[in-house]
Amino acid sequence: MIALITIFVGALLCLYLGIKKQESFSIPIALISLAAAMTVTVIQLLSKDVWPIEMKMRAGGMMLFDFSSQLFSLLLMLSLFLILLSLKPVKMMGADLLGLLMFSLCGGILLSGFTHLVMMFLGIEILSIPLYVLAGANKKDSSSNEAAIKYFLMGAFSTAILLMGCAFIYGGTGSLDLEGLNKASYMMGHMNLATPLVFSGVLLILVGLLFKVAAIPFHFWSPDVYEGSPNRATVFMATIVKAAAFAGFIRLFAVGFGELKEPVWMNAVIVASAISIILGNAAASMQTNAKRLLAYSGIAQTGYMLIAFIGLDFSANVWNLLIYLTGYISATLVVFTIIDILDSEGKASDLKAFEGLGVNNKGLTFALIVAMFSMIGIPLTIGFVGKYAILTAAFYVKPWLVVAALVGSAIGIGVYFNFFKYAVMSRTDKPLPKLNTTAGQKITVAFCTLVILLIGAMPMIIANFKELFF
Amino acid sequence: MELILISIIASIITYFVPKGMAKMVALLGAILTLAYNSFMLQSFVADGTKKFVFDTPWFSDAVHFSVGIDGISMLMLLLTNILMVVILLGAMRKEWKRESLFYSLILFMQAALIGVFVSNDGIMFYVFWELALIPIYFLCALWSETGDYKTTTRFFIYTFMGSLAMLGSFIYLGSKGIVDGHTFAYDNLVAVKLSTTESMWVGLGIFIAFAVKIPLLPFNAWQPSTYAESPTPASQLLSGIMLKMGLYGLIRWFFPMVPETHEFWSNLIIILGVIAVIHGALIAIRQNGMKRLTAFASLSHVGLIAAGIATITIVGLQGALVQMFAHGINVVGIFLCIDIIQRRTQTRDLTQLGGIAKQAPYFAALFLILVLGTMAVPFTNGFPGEILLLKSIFGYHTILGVIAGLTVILCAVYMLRMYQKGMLGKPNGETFHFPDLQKSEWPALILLSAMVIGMGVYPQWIVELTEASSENILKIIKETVEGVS
Repeated sequence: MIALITIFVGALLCLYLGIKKQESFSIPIALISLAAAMTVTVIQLLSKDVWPIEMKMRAGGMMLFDFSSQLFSLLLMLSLFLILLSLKPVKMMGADLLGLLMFSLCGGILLSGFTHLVMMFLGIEILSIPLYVLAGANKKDSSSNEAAIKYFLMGAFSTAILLMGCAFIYGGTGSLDLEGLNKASYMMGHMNLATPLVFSGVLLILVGLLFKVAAIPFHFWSPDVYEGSPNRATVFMATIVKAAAFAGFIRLFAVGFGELKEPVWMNAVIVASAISIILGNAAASMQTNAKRLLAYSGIAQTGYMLIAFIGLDFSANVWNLLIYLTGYISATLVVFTIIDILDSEGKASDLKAFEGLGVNNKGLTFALIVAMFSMIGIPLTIGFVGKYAILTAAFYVKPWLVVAALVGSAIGIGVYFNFFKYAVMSRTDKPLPKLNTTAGQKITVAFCTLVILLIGAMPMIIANFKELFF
Repeated sequence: MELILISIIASIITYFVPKGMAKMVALLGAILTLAYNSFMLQSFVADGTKKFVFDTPWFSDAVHFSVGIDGISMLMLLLTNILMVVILLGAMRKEWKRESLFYSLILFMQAALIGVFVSNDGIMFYVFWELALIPIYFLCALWSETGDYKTTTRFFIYTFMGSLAMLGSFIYLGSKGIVDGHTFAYDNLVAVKLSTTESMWVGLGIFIAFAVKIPLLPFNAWQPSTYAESPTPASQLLSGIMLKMGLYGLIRWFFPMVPETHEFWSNLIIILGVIAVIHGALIAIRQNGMKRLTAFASLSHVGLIAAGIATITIVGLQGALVQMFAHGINVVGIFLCIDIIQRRTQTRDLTQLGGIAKQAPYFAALFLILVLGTMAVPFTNGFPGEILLLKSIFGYHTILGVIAGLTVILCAVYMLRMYQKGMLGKPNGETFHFPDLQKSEWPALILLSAMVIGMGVYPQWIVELTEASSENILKIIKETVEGVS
């Protein structure tokens, strides 16, 4: 809660600085407030080693900052911190846009800690509305405008569906509270009493959330929006929005509708996940634009994360999802930082822009290779640890889904090798010169690479951490 | 454990030392590993149990970092470490661009290979299996002779898909096994009882991974072009050691995992193996590129080895192990000789060569020893293994044995044809100024030829080293089979 307030105040300060025309202070202010919020969260996490009894901090009965929500919000804050670090000073956005990013993050944190469907809805709205603006931040660029309109229409549409689902649920169970939903779904799940109203309500909410995380068949907005939006908005969508939506998603479906898993939503999630993995990878392997490629690969990664929902043990599912998200975010941040660096050198976000990267930029190339290996799921990267955790958990439930996931991974190699093809293998006559990177960009890339390799090589570090809490 | 550490540390150091020193540091690292390995061999008692055990939780309680060395592992370690020294000696003659990265990758590869051969845990086995793929991919692609990375990418995709299938099988086995504790331990995975259908599917997954790596017949499309286009050290690593990963996997992991359906898999592998023997040999006879010829010869030889393993008899396993060791030495030697020829004449096309023996008698003599070893002439290292393998296949099925026996004749045809066209006859313009062996070529080739002769005269040590472990594996298979029926 304190973290949320800190970030909110930081965002207000940024806006105020914008009015006062002192925009150069805004990024430090944002970074400081994020750092403060993270420190508070870590202290809260460490000081309460007994969960969940002591850590219930309710705000009007609508929020519950328990262990999983704290961890998710820590991940979100850290991601935004790294994103802000990696922005180039010349391209520093106006303070108002920075404030919008921070407000959006507040929505993400709400989404990770709600206990009431109204709060979930608010979280999603606060998360999305600033992004509609951010997607269109390049006012002169028609593709940016297209992205903004598309994202707005699709987003509004999906929110409406979600809201309708909430209404149905209220009609079917008489409750909007997670505990109430849990009780109602326990009754219905065990006595096989799920009424058509609840049934369609859960599925409508599922559709709304699948829109947000961009899973097939609700993914059509994502490639265009990713391509058209400015880099900072794209990376925000690819990392924080996805993570926040998943945090809310797993909270609702694990706690609220956990008992309705078998009869109602599991098969839908499985189908969405299998299609996402296979078609997402297949579509990604045909792209020539780096941002579009990442959009489709993000769809495939979403598919893997959906698998985390069907494991038997819900607290383990949350944990697996967290590891997977950490890996996904780290790898995505590395790639987007490199795309941004290339972009500021005047290169388009074509894959061809990577041509000859490996000759003069060893560090960046190494980070790129590690990130891609992590996305593929090669051992000794966090990507493998996450995939392993998710797939083993799912094997007890649906072995064939794991087979589909493995087939998708095999297709996925081709996707990520596209980067190698241009960055490392090409023998171009004009390799890229040494690129200018700021200290912040170096820190972001180095930190993410370190996370990927360290957790990948020694997963026991965080596994021990997990036992402390779960 | 210490072996992996030594080569990883050496690999990292090699990456950071200045340009000229990288090769010496790499060689030092490899020699150190070999020395430590022989030191381990001193205190090693081949009684079939795992020695030098090291075990600690890794991913979670279910997946440990667990190593242990029995006779078979020890043999493979020796092969890896000896060949690594030879490969480095051979590679040193040439100036590689981005030298430190090149040698660093080779040493990293060594660490991964050691990991594969000592691992005692299914997931750890998979991890190292994949890790071995990464350096070889970059070695083949970045230093490719034709500048074309497509072949290598095809190779990567083939093997990676195979490995994913294996991962799927292991996870399935794990989910059937004990839930608490070290789920993926070798012993626990082996102890899992499967129904026939399950066993077929699990077997299929593991089989694909190994069959791609070995390669068995329908999965061999990556092999010839990858061998031909890779730089010589990479070809040597692939053919000398990485193939053995697949064969080792067949012995250690495949058959003990799916004893329930072992008859089906035995039949399949023996038939595929025998077809590969003939197919590879017939194509090899028609090849003019020396590297391609060796690739197909290799296909033929490993087909025979795989068939021998699939008989699941002590004779077959022994023959396979002896022949694996011998084949590693021979094929690395042949590739080294091809590289020497190519470096001096700029070609490895048999139609343009000839008469080298006159100009370089020492080289010719050592090359001949390796050729004879590959042909399995008595008193060379190829002979005992091949006899044992043929005997085991005869015991399994007479007609298949007869067909497999043709390998002795066919192999003589293509190897002698290569030697005759390349070395004998009149020197032509290309080969007229062919200098004899120089510097680091001497120790490499002498070492290999000495091992060819030495093993041919005294192959007994391999049998003694691996006998107890092989019997252990046969016992595991037998017990499960009896338990089922």
